[in-house]
Amino acid sequence: MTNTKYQTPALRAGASVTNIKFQIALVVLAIAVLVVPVPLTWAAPQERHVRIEASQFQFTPSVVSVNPGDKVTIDLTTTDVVHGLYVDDYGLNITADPGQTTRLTFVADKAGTFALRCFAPCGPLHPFMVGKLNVGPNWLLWRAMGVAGIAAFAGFWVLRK
Amino acid sequence: MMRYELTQIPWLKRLLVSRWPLFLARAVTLAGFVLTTVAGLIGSPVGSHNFAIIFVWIAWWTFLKLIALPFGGRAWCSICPIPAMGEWIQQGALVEPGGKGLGLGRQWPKRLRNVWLPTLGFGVIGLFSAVTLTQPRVTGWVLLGFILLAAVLSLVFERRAFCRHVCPIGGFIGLYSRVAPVEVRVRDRSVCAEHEDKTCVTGNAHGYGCPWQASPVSLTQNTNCGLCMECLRSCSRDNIVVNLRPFGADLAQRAGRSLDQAYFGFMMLGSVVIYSAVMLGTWGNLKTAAYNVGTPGWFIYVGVLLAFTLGVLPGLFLLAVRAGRALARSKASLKKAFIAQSHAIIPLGLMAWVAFTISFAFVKFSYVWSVLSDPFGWGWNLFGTAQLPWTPYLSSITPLLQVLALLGGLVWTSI
Amino acid sequence: MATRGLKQEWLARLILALLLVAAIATPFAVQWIQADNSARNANATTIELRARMAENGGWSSDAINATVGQTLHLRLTSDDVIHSFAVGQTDWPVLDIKPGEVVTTDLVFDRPDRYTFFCTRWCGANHWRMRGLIEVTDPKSDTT
Repeated sequence: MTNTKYQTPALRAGASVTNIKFQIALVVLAIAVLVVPVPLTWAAPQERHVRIEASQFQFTPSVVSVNPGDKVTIDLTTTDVVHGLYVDDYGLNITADPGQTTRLTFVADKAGTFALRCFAPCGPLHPFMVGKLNVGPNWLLWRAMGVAGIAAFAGFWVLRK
Repeated sequence: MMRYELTQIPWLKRLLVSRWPLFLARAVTLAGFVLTTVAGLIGSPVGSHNFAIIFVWIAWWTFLKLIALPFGGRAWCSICPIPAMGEWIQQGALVEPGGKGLGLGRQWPKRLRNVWLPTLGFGVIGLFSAVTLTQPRVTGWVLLGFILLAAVLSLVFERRAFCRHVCPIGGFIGLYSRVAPVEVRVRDRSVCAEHEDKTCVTGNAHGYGCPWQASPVSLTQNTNCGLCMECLRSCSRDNIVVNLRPFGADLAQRAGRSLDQAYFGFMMLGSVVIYSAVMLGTWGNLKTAAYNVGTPGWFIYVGVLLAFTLGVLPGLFLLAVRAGRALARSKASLKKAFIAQSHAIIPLGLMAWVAFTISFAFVKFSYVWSVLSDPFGWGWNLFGTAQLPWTPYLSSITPLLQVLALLGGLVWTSI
Repeated sequence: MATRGLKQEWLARLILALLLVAAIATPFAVQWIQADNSARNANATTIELRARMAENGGWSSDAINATVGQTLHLRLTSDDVIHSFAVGQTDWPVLDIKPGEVVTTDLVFDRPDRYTFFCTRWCGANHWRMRGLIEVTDPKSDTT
């Protein structure tokens, strides 16, 4: 039983010096893509007013996009049963009965993408009733895709040998 | 070949060889299973307040996907309550070998000695997953059905036929156990070569022959080893050990690759993509379509799920393999190349499931506390925690964890 | 099996049996203890009322009998969405009934009459159908 049986193709490809330097360069690039803050300026904070209609089992509109610093007002109405709205990470919540409109106002000071979850049990699929709040561009997604691209490229590069 | 033999630690070896630890664990999981099934069948129909839903789909699933499977491989299988009853009847004893068991002991049909049944089983369960995950009654019936099926199969067929050839959960646990850092292997091959009896396979007074029919003497893959430790007990040369090893060690090997395993890999990867879109996405009509069994919308969901997992995904992969073959001007058989390379998606599939689990596990974990005090949703308060409100945990870093998990899987797969 | 092995085997069987019995008996034991507690509340009739959306059946019973002066102990729970419980012709506070949770209340009527109870939180298109009747009789007077 030879040892090479337990080595990955990457290792088997040979641990030449240039190869290692290349791998290190890729790792550094990946970390940079993941972590380095990109200085971007966007429009001055504005007031946003969104009307969200909740029904079994979705929010319409299901995606709300604002800029960091915006003052966001959400009017929640429901078309069938009692629903609620909970904003992940901000920890805010409101509940609306059919026929009422409940208002939530907050400042979107945290950037990122957050889930909007239904806060009042509204039926069997209640745990899966979600929407999205985008505060600023979805950095995590772009960075992750960047690193994924690097990983795929690295995979191809190694196989070239 | 980095391996650290765990069984060289005396107290650990004693613990693994003794039958009591695994028996007690199984007795507890079986009692828990009974309680869960009862809760599902007669408790409140509201999922978030029923022990069955919360413990099966949140507590146990999270434990399985985030801890037991990645770090222990088939460790759950060693304490799973589903085959326990059947196996005890089959062996005629709980802790001592050599009892008079009951059962026909038939051989499992040759044509089904693969994971096609579990693959299809997983797909079929997926068709009803929106209902199963939210309706306590359905979960209750599914659990009851599984344990009865396993018991019946134990009485007809030999050993753990259910676990190895029918259980869909076992199917993917086996698939992903190949990346786990734990294994049961022979210490020294030459000792086995001289050992005529091969008691690990036939059994003796100290232990049964391998209930998983995994042939410990020639074991090189984790896929079918249920970590039951029988071979440690029966080997008369004390030549079987438990090793700690690097992640992913089994993947580099050529042995143990087959089309059915490859297809299960696609079923798992395809399923998690579809589930992520339907359960975690923001499109309510997808969820309602998946939930309302029998409606046209549901049939479309069924069609898409099966077509994607069994057709589109493997098909795309086949095209990629073909392209790769053409570029490398290889004369190797397309089928062999497809099978061999499909196993590269195993880490990707595992991490995708880890990420999927993370996305709902921490958010919904707080239900565990209230359901412990009021398992049936009947208004009890056994431990005083029944009124604890739902609080999502770690919601700030959950997306990051998911991303890291997915990226980890992708990088791993690329390697 | 050797004698020592036999002893171990029976010990194992005992442990298993105890655990399984505990698993099955617990729910019923607790139910019995709870029922005992509320029955100690002498002069009380306990009724469990399950609320469901009208499309799924509405109230589990829409006709309840009670007697003047006797405590009517109600255990309310919902099987699907948020409902609520209110009794007409009284000024008793409205009770929210959350799915999977049980809320209890004690009602004492001092006048014989037919009281309507209904749901006050919109629970679907047929919400207005969710109503029932509490028939309160006076045991002292002659009623046919």
